This record gives sequence, C-alpha cells and structure tokens, in this order.
Amino acid sequence: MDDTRISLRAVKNEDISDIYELYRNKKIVYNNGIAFGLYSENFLKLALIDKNLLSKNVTLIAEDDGTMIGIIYYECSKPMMTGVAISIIINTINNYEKYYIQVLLSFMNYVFKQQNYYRITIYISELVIIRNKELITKMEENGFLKEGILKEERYINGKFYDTYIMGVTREDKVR
Amino acid sequence: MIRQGRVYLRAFEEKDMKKIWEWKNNENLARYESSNPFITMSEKEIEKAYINSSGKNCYAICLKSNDELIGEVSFWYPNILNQSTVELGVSIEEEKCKYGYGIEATVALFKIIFNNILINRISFCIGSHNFYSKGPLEKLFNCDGIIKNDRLIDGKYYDTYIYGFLRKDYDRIIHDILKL
Repeated sequence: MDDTRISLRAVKNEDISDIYELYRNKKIVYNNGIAFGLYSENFLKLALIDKNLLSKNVTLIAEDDGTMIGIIYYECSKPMMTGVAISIIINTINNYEKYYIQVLLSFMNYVFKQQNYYRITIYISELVIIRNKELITKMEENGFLKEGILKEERYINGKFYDTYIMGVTREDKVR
Repeated sequence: MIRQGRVYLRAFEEKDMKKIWEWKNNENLARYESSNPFITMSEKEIEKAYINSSGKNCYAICLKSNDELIGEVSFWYPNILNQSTVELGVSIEEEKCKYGYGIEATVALFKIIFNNILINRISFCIGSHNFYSKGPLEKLFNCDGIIKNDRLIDGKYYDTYIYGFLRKDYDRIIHDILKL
C-alpha cells in the first residue's frame, strides 16, 4: 500500500449499494465507532447524497486501486468558518490504522492544495481510539492536535462513548 | 408555552416577522450568529423558515412582564445518524443581551428537551469573540473543547468553544438549574 494507490472521488448514485452493505456490517460499523442502524438504501441516498445539495455536506469515496476502502463526510456550509469538519469511515478491519491515515493524508492534500480551507477538524469516536491505540500518535505526527473531548456524545451498542476532536491548520501541516 | 424566570417560550407568529427581519439584517447581531453570519434574509425567506416550517424546533423568547419578543432559541440534530446529541442556539436582540435572558431561555429549552426527548447530551458552540455568552454559559455547561482559529470575522481569526451538558447532570442539579 503506498500513497499513490489511494484516490478520492465524489460519491455516485451507484455507490449507495456499497454504502448500504457497509452500514449492514456490524463489525465494520462498530470498528468505526458509529451506531448500528437498519437504514434503507433510500434513507442513505437521502442522507448522504441528495441532502448534500441543501446542506453543503460532501461525501467522498476513498479507493485503493479501484476498491472502496472508506467514506469521508465533510461539512463546509458555514461562511465564516475557516475549515471543514469531517468524519471518516474505513470499510475494512485489517490495516484500519494504515488506511485511516492514508485516507486522511489524501484528504489533507485535497483540502489544503485544491481547496482554499485553513483548517480540518476531525471527529473520532472513543471506540476507534480504544481499538487503534497508535492512531492519535500517528495523527499528531502529521500535524494534528487534540482540541477537545465531547463527553458521552455517541450511543453505541448500549454504552455512551466520548468523541475526540482533532484539528490541523495549513501551517501545522507544513511544519 | 414554557415559562422560566423572567421569560417564556412560544411558537412564532406572523406578527413577529418584522422583528425577525430586523434581526436577520442586523450587522452586529450577525457577528454572533453561529450558523448563518452576514447572510441577509428576505421577508419571504423568513416566513418560510419561521412560520411555514413544521419540523423546526425553534421558539420565540418573550418577556413575561410585557410579552415583548426579545429573541429566539432552537435545537437541531447535528448528525442525522447520531440521535443521542442535539445542538442548541440562542439569539437575543442587541439591547437585551446583557441581562441574562438567554440563560433563562436555555433552561426553558432544557426542560423541553430533557423531559420529552430521549437524548443524552446538549452541545452549544460559540465564537471566542462572543463575550456576552461565554460567562453565563459556563454557569451551566462544561467546556469540552476549543477549536483554534475556526472562524474568520472582520478579518480576524477566532476560536470556537464547544460546550456540553449531559442528562445525568440535568438529573443531578435540576433544582439548582430551575432557580436560575
């Protein structure tokens, strides 16, 4: 796996069936620290694709050699905000940390080089951090700083979990 | 109608539109809006957003003493797939924003949310330039994080403070809260 194989692209209607399968897979869902829900394809299409036009939320698909390995959701709807708020879902359990960082780096390149945003804020479930202990360290090596912890923000599998806020600015990335 | 301290919350009516139009086109108030700063709204857009919108959890804040409309308070789900957290926003008109009415309206909204909706957490975000709100908010909420240089207003970068309030805290200190 190297940088060049990871690519990002906009979501298409045809991706909905893959996203539907992802959300049906309990292991993948819990591994990403999100709540399991029985969502229909129509609901996912409405929430992730059609809604984008109204809310300016954007869904990107991350691919490794043409295979979907993850989804990035980012929000850029507030005019005075200097950056984007994102969450990442990785469609695999093996190599989770590696893929997470690779997808994040690809997204950072896109946002800082192609889009004129000043910062990226990423929301990560405590559940992801418990299972991937090196993730925060690796993110910090790439310029991210821990900026806060939202207490008991998500309800997953019968328990409340915190959500970590990590942030990076264009200058931090360069440094 | 939900009463708390010197204020009460009610639904918006057509008679409120003129005042909302003034708020939405007020440059000073716009600096403190977290969602749509410096975006003006026409009367038609206001009518659509405040009167003809059935699913919006938005309430008018009025003074008990003379029924004057002084602001708005609302809540929403920031993430459609995470129904355990809501975010709220409060806006008080310029002349009334120094008197603590916003915190009383927030407590009234707490009563609506925690007594009727099965959520666990309320989040509240403000810019670091919003010194009117910071002190009163910290009486109620814990600061969970500070997002650096998150906002650009009048050519300057400002941080965003993220506050949180949990259901277990509401259950524990409900009597103290209601005295506010």
